[in-house]
Amino acid sequence: MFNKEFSKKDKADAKKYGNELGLSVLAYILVLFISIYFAKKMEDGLLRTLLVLTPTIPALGAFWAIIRHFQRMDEYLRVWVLEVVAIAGGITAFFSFSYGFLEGIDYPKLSGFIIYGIFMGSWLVVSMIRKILLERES
Amino acid sequence: MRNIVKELRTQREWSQATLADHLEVSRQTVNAIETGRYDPSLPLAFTISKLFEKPIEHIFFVD
Repeated sequence: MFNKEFSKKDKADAKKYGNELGLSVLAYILVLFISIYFAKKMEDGLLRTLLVLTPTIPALGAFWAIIRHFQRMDEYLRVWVLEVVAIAGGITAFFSFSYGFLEGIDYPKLSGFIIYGIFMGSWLVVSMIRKILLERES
Repeated sequence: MRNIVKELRTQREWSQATLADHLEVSRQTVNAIETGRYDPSLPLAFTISKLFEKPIEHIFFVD
């Protein structure tokens, strides 16, 4: 479906991104399980609240990896990816806006997490569709 | 804007990835320039011009 040919820059960037993101995700999973394990045994309080928030630190690492990946991209790819992010943001906003009306007629209230899922899902789907269209054009 | 990047590349029997290696960009960027979907920045246009040893206006031109 996709052209499998990559330049040296493509490969080097993908490797660096994979390593940085992989390490952050690994750290996130580790901190998440440790925090859940200890939080279950603790009484409610500030310390417990801070403990359940600790996975956000490696999550910031993942954010940092994504930003660094953007900075490594060449001029065209950066524009392309940022356009996809903008479209995904638009889809998410449209969904959120539309569902707000439905909540007005007693549709169930959705968790804030779902917005993040819709944004990431839209990002993935829009990327795939644009990539297929681009490969067809070339 | 149109360009003859594809012609210059194929004259040298380079793949898009090989040209991308010379320009230190991604293959998709070369593809986008060749198909006219993307006009390169001035620094990248100069790099292309230097690589193919041709003035910019002989590679990129208005329709």
